[in-house]
Amino acid sequence: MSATKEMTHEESLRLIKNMIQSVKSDFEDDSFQYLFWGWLVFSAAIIHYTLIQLNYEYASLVWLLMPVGGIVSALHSRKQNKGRKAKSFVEQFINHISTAFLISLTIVLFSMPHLQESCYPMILVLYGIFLYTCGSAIEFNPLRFGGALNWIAALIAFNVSFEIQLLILAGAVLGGYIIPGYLLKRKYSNQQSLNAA
Amino acid sequence: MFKDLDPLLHQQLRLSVISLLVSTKEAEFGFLKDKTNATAGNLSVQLNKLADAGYITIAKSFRDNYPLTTCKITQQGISAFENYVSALQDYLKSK
Repeated sequence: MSATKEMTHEESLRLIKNMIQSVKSDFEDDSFQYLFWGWLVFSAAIIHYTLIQLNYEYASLVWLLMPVGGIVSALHSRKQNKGRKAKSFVEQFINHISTAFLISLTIVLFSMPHLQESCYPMILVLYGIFLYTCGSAIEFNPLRFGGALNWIAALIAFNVSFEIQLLILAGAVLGGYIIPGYLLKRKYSNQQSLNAA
Repeated sequence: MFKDLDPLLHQQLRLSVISLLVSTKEAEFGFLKDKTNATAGNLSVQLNKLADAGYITIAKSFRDNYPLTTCKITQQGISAFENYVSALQDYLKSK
């Protein structure tokens, strides 16, 4: 690019538009976290439900997978952030939202003895906030719908037994994390093809 | 009467850099080089001009033992960019 080339006013505006657009279309593939947590929570909820049906005493131990998931997820984030050459305002906003979500989730999990059967519905409310906000930040409707689905699931879950809550939780993460995760992955692949063309 | 265009921004490479930095929180030298297709030497000179005018800040650090240059737009840079775009729009509206 020349350092001295004179531009017309039209060329200047076109250049600004192209540069801003190039940053916008250069978004990173963040589908891993949605798919990873979606499948992990989905599997844990289904296994927990199955073990309860089999009258297994320590069925809830399946949730010990979550701290392991937390380590895998953190390592992946660290690796991805290291490879980023530019930080966008949207990424920064999502990082803040993720922090707020994790703190809130930790408080709910530590309050499990008090919340008892309201614990999973409360988690679904938090999922709803997280998904809807992230979906709005990246202007991706499947995540917004996923958030709304989790709020509806929370409303229902407050009124059913613990076993049914597990099935509702599995359905909510399927619609809130897994399906939007795959759609996000496809959107990223399409964008990559367009950028390469 | 049209506002004068900021001569510092009315130049292809510097305008590209400012447009990129307006859209990001911060960007590495390599990112700006890839996006603008500029040579490292030319980009470096233009970044220093923008930094001298107070439009951007340049931070030098190390990552994995390699030098890392990170650029960030300042409030003064944002105002200058906004004034530049506004002047362009005024001109184009009058045509």
